[in-house]
Amino acid sequence: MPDVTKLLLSLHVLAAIIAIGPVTVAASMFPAVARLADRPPNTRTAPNSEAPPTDGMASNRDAPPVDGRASNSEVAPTDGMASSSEAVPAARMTLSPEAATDDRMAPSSEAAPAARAVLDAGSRDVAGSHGETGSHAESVTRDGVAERLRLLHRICRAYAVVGVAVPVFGLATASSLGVLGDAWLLTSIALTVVAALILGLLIIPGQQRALVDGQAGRLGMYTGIFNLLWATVTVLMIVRPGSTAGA
Amino acid sequence: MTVRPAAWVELASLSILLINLYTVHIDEITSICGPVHGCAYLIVLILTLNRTTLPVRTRLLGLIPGIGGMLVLRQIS
Repeated sequence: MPDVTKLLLSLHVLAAIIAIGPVTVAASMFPAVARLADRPPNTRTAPNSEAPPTDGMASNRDAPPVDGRASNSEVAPTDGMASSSEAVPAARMTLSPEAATDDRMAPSSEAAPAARAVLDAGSRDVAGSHGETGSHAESVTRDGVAERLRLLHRICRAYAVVGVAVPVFGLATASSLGVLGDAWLLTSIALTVVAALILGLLIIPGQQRALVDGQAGRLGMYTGIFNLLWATVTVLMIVRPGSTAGA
Repeated sequence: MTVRPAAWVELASLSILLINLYTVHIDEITSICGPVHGCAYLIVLILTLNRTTLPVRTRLLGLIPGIGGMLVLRQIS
């Protein structure tokens, strides 16, 4: 493989990982956060099926912690993610794998700001959907949800624009490798076009509408289809069915 | 103001491509600058067409290859 081709391929793969990854994550989180905003405030205080037993959590809030789950909740606030004022009660109320995840994420505080924002929003999202009882319900205000939605939408939009580099460098790599006519590549190109149309015509405008009226609509479905298409293209790029060039 | 860097890359990469074409004509430079120019062009296009607050005329300026981004910048400022 000529050096130029190696460089083009590297740029193509880098662009794919850096640009499309955040879009898939942020777009997937968007409908879940939008549903938080959608829910009337009085139902947020009521125990729901998603939440862990609420009586245990209430005792966690009022009385000194005695059980194992509560001791876990004492560990949570010490992590790096807890610097966000919203995340502190969230982490304390979240009793289990989520809190553990936060602990594991803490050392990566030197990650890129965008990535950190995603992680932060993600941890708050998870905490919000599982631990929204008691005092935490008050802290999840509509403003907080709207802010998160705006951030997720901004991530999607910005990285979708950067994502233009993926097909451009991909086509350049393919033409320099001389595989532009291969069936696996033509299939990938077709799937990529469909994915790009879904992102540009359904997901991004849908998010903009959701920012206004708070209704996620079918965003979850569109995002799921986009993610599946993207995963399919990635597998096609690795397996390259019918290709004889290299491993 | 995210159009600015993209517009500069668009113009600079096209200049490099043309200078390379008429002077040394090194294939590697063509291979790298071509996609870079294509990316910058598309990014300028998307960013200007999305700005619904601008007049249609200004947004369509972004379609002009090579110098479209700079023309849009001039219209905005």
